[in-house]
Amino acid sequence: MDSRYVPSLLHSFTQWLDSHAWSTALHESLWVWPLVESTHVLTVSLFVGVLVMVDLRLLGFAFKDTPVSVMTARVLPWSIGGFCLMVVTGLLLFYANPVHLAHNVWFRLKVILLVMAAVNAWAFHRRVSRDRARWDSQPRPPVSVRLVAATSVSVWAGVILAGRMIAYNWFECGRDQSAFILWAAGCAVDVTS
Amino acid sequence: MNNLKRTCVAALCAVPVLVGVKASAHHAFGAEFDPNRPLILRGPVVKIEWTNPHAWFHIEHTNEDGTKTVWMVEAGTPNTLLRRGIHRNSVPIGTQVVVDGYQSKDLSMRANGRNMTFANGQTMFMGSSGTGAPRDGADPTEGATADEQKKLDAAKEADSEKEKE
Repeated sequence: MDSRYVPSLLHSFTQWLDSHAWSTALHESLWVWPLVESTHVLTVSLFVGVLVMVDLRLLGFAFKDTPVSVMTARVLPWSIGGFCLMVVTGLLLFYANPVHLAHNVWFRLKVILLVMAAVNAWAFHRRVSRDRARWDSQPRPPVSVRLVAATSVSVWAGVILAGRMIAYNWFECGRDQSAFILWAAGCAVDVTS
Repeated sequence: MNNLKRTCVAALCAVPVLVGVKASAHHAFGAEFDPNRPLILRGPVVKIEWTNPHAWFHIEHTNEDGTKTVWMVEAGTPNTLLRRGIHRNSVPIGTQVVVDGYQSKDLSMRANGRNMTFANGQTMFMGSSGTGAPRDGADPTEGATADEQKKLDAAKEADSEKEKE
């Protein structure tokens, strides 16, 4: 038990993951970890890049002459491919360093934003299945659709920024932190050791 | 006009995304370490974490009053270190080293490592390139410092002057 962290089910789980030989091997690997991290960044740009173009179409900024259904049919397979690789590499990166990441405030913020993105995607598909035929060819879809697209762009931008910030350890457990950070990161208060 | 407005909005929406993707290689030196707090640590390596994206060398430094402090020194990736000639079996625990680097801004016992010198005199740049660390000559890939470049330019000019004569 590391005195820097508040004991919890999540903490026990990440410690169990961390005890795996494969987790350590990945964290210390010469080639696999850099490859996995690079692939994660590249597939994030593939997935989010395509998603942003679709969102710009839904917002009425881009490809206004192309029906939404035509555009999504053409580009979404690329996005889904990027998404799958992004998720697999993301999980591997977490597996390599689970305890540290689970107590990183930026990582926690990123997970919250990912949940928001998932809820937003679910809302979009519900909206689409309802009456897409009505606005499919409109240069500027209805306001509810545009709202979902704007949320998508903002939330994914937030995911990327939060993900980038994970590398900075200003709010690491075991350092002098504010009460808010201690709570938000699951750090133990007594860190004098 | 409407088109222009829309293009601007679209561009603004894309900015955070682009910025997020662009800054992917290193974390910046200046965010964590203080260029005005250079230090030299001497003592045995007591622990090494061969982790990505940075390896950490724990060095037991003997202070002037004889007390000992264990410092955590950030290095490059395990892969970078391998390419510079050291791997996990080539630095046994207890190896005596001299490390120079810069202390962290929060004044904890952490430092960004620059050169690591072994007992046989062999020196190795242990840090990462391109992080914005001071150009102190430790990184062989960074080229000349601004001062050195000025001297080089002056010498070149003097040479060309001579040739003219």
